[in-house]
Amino acid sequence: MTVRTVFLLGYVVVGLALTGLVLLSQRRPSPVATVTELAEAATRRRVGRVIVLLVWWWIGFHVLVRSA
Amino acid sequence: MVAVGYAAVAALFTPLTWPAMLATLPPLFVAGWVALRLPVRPIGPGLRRRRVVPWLAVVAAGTIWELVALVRSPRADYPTISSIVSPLAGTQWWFRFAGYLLWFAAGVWLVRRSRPPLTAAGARAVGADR
Repeated sequence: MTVRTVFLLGYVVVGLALTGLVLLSQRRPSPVATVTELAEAATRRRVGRVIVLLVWWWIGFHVLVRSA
Repeated sequence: MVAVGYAAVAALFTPLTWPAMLATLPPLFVAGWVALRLPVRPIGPGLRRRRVVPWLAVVAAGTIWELVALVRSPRADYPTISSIVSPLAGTQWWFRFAGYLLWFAAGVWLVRRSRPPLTAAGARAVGADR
């Protein structure tokens, strides 16, 4: 197994873990917060909205502009 | 329709150029202007830490994994997420177009989360404050 394969598998594991948390959060009662609950908690205050939107912008910028 | 048209035009710009970079700024300004005009929501019951910790753990693990790849070389052996999508993002208009649409959708969803209150828990919190 090459180093590249190990790193790619790491991303797959993280993606599967995120998917698992999304599915787990849909159960009622759920031990895990839903994505909506997280977003609402993060954007309750204006400073939180600024941080969340900057992170959102950076992801778009990084993928759409910085990738070539 | 405006978003679709904007995405179609913005996706025309070649990555790593000033037009491509500038194209990402108006959506940020619009989203920020709308989100900051909305009132601060009343304090709700809050999320219990144990319901948030699993998210933080997975996001931290993914971030560390990405950073480890970022500081190592060669990139072919230590791929980052952006290096994985680069072959498509750098050459394919349709990939950037779809990316812009997904990005816009995420932005609209986030701005809408700033409105009070949307979840049942949030509604209960507001009801309790009244």
